[in-house]
Amino acid sequence: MTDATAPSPRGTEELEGTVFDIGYQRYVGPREGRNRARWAVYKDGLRLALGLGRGARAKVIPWFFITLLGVIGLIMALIAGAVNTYIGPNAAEALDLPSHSDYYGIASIVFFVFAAVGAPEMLCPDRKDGVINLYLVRPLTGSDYVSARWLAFFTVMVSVAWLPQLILLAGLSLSNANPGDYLLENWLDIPRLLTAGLAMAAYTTSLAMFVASFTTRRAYASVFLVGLFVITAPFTTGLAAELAEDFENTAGQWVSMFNLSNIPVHVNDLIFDDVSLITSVAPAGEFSGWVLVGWYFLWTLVPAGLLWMRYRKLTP
Amino acid sequence: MSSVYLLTLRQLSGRWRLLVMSVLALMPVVLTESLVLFPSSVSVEEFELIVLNTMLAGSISPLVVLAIATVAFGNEVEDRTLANLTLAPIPRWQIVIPKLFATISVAMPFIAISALVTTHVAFNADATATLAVTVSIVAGLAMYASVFVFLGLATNQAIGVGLLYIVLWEGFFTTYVSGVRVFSIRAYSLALMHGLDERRFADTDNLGFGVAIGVSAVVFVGFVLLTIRRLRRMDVP
Amino acid sequence: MTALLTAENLTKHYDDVIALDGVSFEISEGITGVLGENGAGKSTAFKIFLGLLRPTSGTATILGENASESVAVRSRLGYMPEHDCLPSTVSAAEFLTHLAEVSGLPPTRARIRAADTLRHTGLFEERYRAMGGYSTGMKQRVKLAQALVHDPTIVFLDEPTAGLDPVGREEMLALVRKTHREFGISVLFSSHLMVDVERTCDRIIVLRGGRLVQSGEMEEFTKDTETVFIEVDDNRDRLVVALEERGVLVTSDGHGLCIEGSDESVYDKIRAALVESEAPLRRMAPRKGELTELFRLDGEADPENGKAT
Repeated sequence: MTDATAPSPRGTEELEGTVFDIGYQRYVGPREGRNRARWAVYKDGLRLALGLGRGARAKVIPWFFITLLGVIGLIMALIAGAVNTYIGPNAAEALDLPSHSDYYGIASIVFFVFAAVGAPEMLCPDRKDGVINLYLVRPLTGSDYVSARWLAFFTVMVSVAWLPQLILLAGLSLSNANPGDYLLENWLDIPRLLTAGLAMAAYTTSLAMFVASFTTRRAYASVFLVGLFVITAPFTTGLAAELAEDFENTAGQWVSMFNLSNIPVHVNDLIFDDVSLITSVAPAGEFSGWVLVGWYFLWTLVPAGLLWMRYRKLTP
Repeated sequence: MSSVYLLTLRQLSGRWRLLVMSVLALMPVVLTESLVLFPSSVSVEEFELIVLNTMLAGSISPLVVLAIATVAFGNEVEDRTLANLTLAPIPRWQIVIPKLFATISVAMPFIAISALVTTHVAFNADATATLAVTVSIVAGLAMYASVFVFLGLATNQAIGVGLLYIVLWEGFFTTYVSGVRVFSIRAYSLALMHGLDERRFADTDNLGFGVAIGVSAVVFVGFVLLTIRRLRRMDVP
Repeated sequence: MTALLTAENLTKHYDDVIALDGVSFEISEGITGVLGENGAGKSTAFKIFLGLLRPTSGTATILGENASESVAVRSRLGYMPEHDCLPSTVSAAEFLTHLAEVSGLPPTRARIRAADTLRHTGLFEERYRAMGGYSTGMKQRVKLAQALVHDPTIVFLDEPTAGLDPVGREEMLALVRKTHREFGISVLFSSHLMVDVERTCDRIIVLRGGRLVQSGEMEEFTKDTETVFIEVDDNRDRLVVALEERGVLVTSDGHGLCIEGSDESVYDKIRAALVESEAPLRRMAPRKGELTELFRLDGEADPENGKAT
């Protein structure tokens, strides 16, 4: 047997510098088990979603989306600022210009496409390349893996949802003569935009990762997701408008509920107690808040649960 | 050439993929059928906007084509088997052309039947209208195919770029910034439709019929040439 | 020596197919070859011990833990899969660092271990390049390195020589030997090539159609199966009778005859038999037992003796 000459923790730097010592050293340092494994997969998920540590090309798509979403927030802030400057203080509010409550409605489509492109990256290549087997023979279970990946993408989506809102908040308060007063008056917007951001991110992450778990080719998952988000909108809008006239609304309302891009925006509307641009024409908005919230949780928790079950089976 | 065509055809027609495409293609049919079934106040303009413009020309056709076209070369680039094909003793254009036609042949039945049934139902079996819509949607499909096959070869982020193009360019900008229509496959397709049957999109600011035919041909042929050029010059992995 | 892993009546069914059928064995330190044709149940057995599959019945114990239940034990196991498992856009150094962390090593330690392991498996400057551009030989080295990066107690190598050219195979087998002799890591090594197993392993297990056919120390195998090969021009049948009269085990092998046994007395008996049967001898040669023979000894192994300790 090889002699397990233990390098002291302090001695590792010296070892690294020793050129001639090429003998094998047994590892005697700490083994942190499952928690370290979960954290490593989570960290790797963040890097994948943002294209860090890969070539420049991998960064183009995610950062384009992040910039785009930020720019939408920035433009909204600049318009409000310009209105306040040229028309008069508080004119932006008086004119009811698009603000925090409207942002997710406006940017939702960009947000969804970002998820459709990014979420498959979390799961598909690992299964396609067979890396998943290397993960699962380590101190990590299938549910550890998928939870870590879900959380990683959720973290990215939450940050991407909050960032433009915070830019908008900064813009709105700074364009005010007295930023402190603005914040004091509108402090309620802060918890509201944070909660609405969480709701948007949880829904998109769960649905997108669930779809991604069905294929090893990212392309199919992405296209299917965009199809789901982009096409259910005109489909349900058209059908709902039609049915609304014939069946005293109920049927139309339910069809409108299947507009997948509106599901989290209805929750956003409830949080802000306001109606967004894209939901203002949706008959589903007439349902009570409880129905809309329940529907939201159904569409978030069921895909998340099914995703978890699919991966849980992978390890005993 | 025919062997590359058949090979690609087999690559592109997986069970799941065909199912997903059928679902996408069925949506405008179901919507139109229900519009006709119930006494409706939906105007022809609204129908054109929602079903023909937004759904068929603007999202379903490009999405179906994107899913197929980027795979035509994408799988081989990803799996590093493109070399097997490029080492075969055939000129590069004889690889590109069959792959493009395989893409079109897989996508076309879905889109063409969808467009055909939709308009047949919507316009009370008016032959001119049905033909005009079907032909122009298929022409749009061919252009999308040409562009996306190039994209699949040019970048390994083809899906991301393609989706951005469909959602932002064809979906968002073309709708709200009218000048962009000069560079939009969706707009070419609608202009062809208007040219073949002038009742369609009568009130919209369309490109001329001649111009539409011209640019459509230029886009289709141009991207085919670009793809061939790209395949000649790239380092095959 | 205590057993590192134990299979007790291990059975695995996939729908109708029986991949493993009541297999029992024990494995202790060293290099163990798991020999069998494709579909013999090698990969299935590996995957059960690694916790990737749950056995239909029976238990798999590894390092004292139930392989189907303990997650923690897997930080001491390494696995080199048969098929591709490397992402093409990442460098080997980065990939190994990440996997070392997944095995539970803190990040700084993980980085050092990754660099060391790649050096020991013979990857140098290439380790900073994306793995998509690696040759098959380099990929196999990375696959081995990722199985060793967290310094496991046992490593499972599933067909490590598959797809390699003769030189690459030599190098891989040398690495396998080094893994045990220098690194002190016990190896379980599956192959369908007898030569690989023969030259590398301390003991072997032979699986066939999901059943354990043979198991034991390498030396015993080669000794037991040592034979003498004779070819005669005529009177072959009389020779067989003469040999059998003398209590020698004879099997027919093409034109010739194989006579089992390695001690000197067998040659005396052969000489006597040749004289008696008046068979003109054309050729006689001692043949060193090769594992090829194991495949002919179909299912004679007694499950009770199925211990490879």
